[in-house]
Amino acid sequence: MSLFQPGTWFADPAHFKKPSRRSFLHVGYLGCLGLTLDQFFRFQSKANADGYYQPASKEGKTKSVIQIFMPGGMAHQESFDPKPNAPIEYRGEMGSIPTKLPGVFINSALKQTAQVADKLTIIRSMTHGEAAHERGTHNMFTGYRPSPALEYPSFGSVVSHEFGVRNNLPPYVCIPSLPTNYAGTGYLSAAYAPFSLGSDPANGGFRVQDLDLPGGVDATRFETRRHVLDAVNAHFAAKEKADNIAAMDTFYQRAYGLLSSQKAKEAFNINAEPAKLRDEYGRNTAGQRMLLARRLVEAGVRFVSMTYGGWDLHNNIKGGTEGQMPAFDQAFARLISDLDQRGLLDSTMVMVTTEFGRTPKINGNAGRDHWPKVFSIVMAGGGVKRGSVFGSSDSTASEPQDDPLSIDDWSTTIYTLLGIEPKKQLLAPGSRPIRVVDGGDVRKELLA
Amino acid sequence: MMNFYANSFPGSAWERTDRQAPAWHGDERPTTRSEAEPPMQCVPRQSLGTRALALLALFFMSTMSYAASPSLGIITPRGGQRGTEVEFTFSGARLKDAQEILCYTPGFTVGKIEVVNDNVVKAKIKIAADARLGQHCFRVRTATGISDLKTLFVGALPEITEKEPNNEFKSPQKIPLNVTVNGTIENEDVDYFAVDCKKGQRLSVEVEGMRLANQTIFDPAIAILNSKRFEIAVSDDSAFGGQDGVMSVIIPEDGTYTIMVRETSYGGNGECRYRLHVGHFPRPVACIPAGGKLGEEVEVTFLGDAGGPVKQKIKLPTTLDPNFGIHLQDAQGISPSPFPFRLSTLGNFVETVPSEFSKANVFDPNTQAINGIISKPGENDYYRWKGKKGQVFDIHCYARRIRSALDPVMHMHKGEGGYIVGDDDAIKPDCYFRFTVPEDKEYVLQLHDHLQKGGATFSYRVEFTPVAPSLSLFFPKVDGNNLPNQDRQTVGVPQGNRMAVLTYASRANFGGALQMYANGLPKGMTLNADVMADNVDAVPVVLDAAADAPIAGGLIDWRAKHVDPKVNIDGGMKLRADLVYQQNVGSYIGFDTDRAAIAVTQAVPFKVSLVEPKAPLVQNGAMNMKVKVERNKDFKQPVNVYMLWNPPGIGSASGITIAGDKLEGDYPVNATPAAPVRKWKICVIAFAETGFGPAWVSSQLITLDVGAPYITMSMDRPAVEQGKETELLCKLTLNKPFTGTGKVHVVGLPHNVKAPVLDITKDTKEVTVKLTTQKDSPPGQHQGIFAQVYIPEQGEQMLHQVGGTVLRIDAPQPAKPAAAAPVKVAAATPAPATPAKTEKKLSRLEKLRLEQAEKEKAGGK
Repeated sequence: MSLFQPGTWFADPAHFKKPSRRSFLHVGYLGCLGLTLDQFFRFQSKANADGYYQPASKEGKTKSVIQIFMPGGMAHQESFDPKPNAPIEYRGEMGSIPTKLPGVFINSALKQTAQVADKLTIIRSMTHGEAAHERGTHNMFTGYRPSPALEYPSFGSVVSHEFGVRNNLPPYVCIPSLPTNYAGTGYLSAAYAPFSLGSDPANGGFRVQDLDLPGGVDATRFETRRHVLDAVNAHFAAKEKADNIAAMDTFYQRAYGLLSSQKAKEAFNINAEPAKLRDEYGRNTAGQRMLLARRLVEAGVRFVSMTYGGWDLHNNIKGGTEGQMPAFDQAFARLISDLDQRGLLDSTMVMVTTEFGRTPKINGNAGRDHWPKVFSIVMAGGGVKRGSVFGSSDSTASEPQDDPLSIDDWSTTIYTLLGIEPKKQLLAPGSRPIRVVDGGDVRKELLA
Repeated sequence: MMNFYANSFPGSAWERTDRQAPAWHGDERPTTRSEAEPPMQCVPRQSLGTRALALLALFFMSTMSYAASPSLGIITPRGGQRGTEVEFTFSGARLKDAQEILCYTPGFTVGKIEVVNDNVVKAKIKIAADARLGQHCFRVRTATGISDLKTLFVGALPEITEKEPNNEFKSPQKIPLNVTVNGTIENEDVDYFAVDCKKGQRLSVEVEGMRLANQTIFDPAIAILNSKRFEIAVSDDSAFGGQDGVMSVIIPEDGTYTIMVRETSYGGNGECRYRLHVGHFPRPVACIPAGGKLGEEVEVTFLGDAGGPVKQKIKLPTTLDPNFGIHLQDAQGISPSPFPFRLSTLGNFVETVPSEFSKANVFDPNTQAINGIISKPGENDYYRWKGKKGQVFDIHCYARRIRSALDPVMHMHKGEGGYIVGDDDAIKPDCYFRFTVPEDKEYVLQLHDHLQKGGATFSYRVEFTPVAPSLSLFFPKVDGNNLPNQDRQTVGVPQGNRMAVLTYASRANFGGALQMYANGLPKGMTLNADVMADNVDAVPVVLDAAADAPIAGGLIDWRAKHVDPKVNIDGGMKLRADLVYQQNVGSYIGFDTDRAAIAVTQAVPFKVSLVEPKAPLVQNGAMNMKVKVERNKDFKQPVNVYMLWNPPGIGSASGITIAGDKLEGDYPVNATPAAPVRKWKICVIAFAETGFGPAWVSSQLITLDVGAPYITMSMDRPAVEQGKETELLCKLTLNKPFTGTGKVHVVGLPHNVKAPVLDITKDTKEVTVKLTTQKDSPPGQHQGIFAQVYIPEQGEQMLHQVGGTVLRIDAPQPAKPAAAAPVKVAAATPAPATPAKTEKKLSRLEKLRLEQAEKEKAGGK
């Protein structure tokens, strides 16, 4: 059994490393401080003044991410990993269709996605073993197994922490709102929390909260108010050292940036998109959320997280899938082609993820239950290979057959593409250095 | 052999074979049932004119729409006084064709039923003066079905209604004594009622809140306050009433006292209804003994009332009744809700003095049940008895089941000392174990509270009963994810049509096959069911209603008996209706019904039938069963079809839909490799929207013959280079001869690999399938390749899924300039001599061996 326990003393592999011969070669006076030669060189090259491994992040191939999360646990059988030759109680009632990738079939409701499959990487061997909703969600939003000892930051918050604001826009946006607490900042400062729209772009009267100055307040008056507030804040900041004060200040700074930049504000104006394009995405939650996500990354938002549908289909999985999948299909396919047409796909990573898969066998209520042993996700763009299938599940979609993809490997690959060193140590409260990803390798097969 | 079932997981939720997942409940009651009580049906008294109107209404309804699946949410008011007539409102959905109110217990005469609208009907019900106090169960029968089971309560006191505002202690609602208040707790609502009492009087208060089974979870709390707002008594929860409080006090001085009612955490909503009994009636909370011998008069001591213990003689009925209860009645009234009281064939041993191990009470378990009290904290009670070697007893301690505060623990010791067996919570929190007497000698039973608590009302009863077979039946929950639902646990059979219900059997202490039957089915209805095999616990039962069967129904004695007439085992329904249920907590309030609600209903515009397959479904094979729909002219609704039950080893589609313009559909079914070889009776059920609400019907029962496969196949493991051909050698074993030609399809091949369909006959020993690859056929190991073989039988095609292999596709080797040449030559040299004859029959392994041998040979030269 592995001793690895995220968020605990056991999580640090250094605690289990056997000392090498070189470790004993202390360098002069440094030896007095307890640094060995290899540590010295390592620190000299990458460690900061406090001794933490914190290499500066530098934008990688992936400049922006659109994370499309399917809450509840989307069945791999009824989406990207159909098993048409399995017995009926395994394969389910839905058919499958060929895609642009030779020999690759996906669910029959994904007609338009099939036509952009040559731009996607379908991962059919994702596995994490967490069958509870909140634990599956935690894995897929943070790249860590949940720990009672520590709250981990989401991918979006880490991106926000590493790269900060671009074009006066919030680095991390949730459409329409924070989908789960695990999409939050975890141990990082609340300053890296996502900006929630608070309104669904699919609604007719969609308007992002707090983007405009209140009625009767013009720019000058706003500026005066700001100075007054700054004075008050400075007083508190001088007296108290607390994360929420610093975080609040960051919020204000970002809000000022956003409020004062018409261009930034315009990024949220979905009505500026041509009506035809809005129709092509679909005038529904899937379509308008994905269209706004594209609009935001185009304007400079680094990480957009959105949810679509409810996929916890313990009952009537066929009906539930038929009801929700076509809107997703239309929007997702259009999103991929739209990004590609705009030349954004190579710099924008699109991920379709979910909590876990669903049971190999259809249950007594014509649904499927939770199944984390193997499931499917989709990645595209941002340096991810175009047109491939990674890994496979066995004949009944019960277990990974080839190339199981762990959460660690998956998140290491994502962070590497983003230009964030996965082994980088972020500081949890109490100056606990926690790696961005604990373990894991870059899966080169996923890369373009 | 390709086996798709290798990844099935025994014991897991998804391993269930039925469409109607069974729900098991803790067995709290004896399995014996009332044999004497006939099914009660309360037929409304209708005048001729009313009947004519009803018929007219029925005619209009039948021409406009077909109602179906009535549902009942709640009956209001939530109760009434016995000996009075009360107009009750039955609220639910699809009730506009209501015809009858079905009651599970005697004492109710239903008057005219008035349909207010589709969701509400009203009926005046006369409650007999001797009706049992407490909970009673009802259903509404409409022309098109029977509703869920819901309850109402009978009280002994006059009924009044709560009047708001009564939310301030200073301005309470003044009420007379000896009444039952029907009230509601809204959010943060506190209701105050003022009563005038004299010093020395008894004031008892009992609330029914949770027990009322409102459409929400309502946990009430009550208190009696004096004029200075000090609490004289409070009761939130009680062992006697569960979440409902009970209390009685002796009034300390003349004055006005205030009774407070609220939700325990100041919650509440419009559904939080309560019945508050207030008066001078006795309200004990325990009784001893808590059971007695059938037909005898028993002296019972009631404990816990403010007036002190009271003894009263009670005459017991002569027949078993699991719902029997007793009340304490004196000159000042009767306690509102009953004590459950055990009727048995045993007499009583009542503990009178404290005991020790060495000075244990002595009783005879063959003739007596123990009745005692753990009267103080830390107390242990001991009972000595003589056992005969080989005797087997089921030993139950009844404590919480008789509403005692005791959480009992039982231990059995040898008479001279020495622990044998014990239990704490087998029937939570009561205890039970089975005891086989090891030798002829004395034994001592020890009893105490789990937390070493004790008190005057910590009563218990212990029964030793010989192990007896028991059988009960139930209809499963159709929605396993929504346990409190009662969907399709009643059966409506449309005239001239069929409906099926899956019946589960709980067998205890016996094995064997069972035959279903029913007493008192509605006129024109017949029951069809196969024998329930001894190794399964379910059987589909199809009810047929004649076209001229009158629309009628009731609570039917639904039974099964052992197929061997010499074995006298017979059992009836024990169908649990969960009335208050919370996810992850379970059932707060429920009721075990002993009869099935079954009715002939109005005709519906479609029928379904199954075409019985002539050929068997072979193990690891599959077939499509043909479902036919017979539609009335103009009926174009889609019909949704479901398999009622998958026999062991059989899997099927979770449902198919036959479109409005179609008259038949295919229902996919398959068998696992280990499916038992035998015949089963199966059927499908189907529903269609017929205007409002779904109307359900079923097919007839047909025989599904599960057979052994006619052929089996083994495949070798082929390997090929991209763009080339290879051969897949398949060796066949014939298990059962067939006539005609079978077809072999190799499936699961990777992209751009082709294989022809080959013919076989019963004489074919092997086939060689040519696999053709393309330059872009994906390289790698390709698993999941097997053969679908169609074998003709009586004009039908039996699908066998056989074989199973891995195909390796290699990318072409880069050309080796010089070294490769001699090998090729060497390999080519002997080719004309040997491979010409044997090439086609060599397996991949044999070819590799041959190549190796040739290489070695060439190298040797």
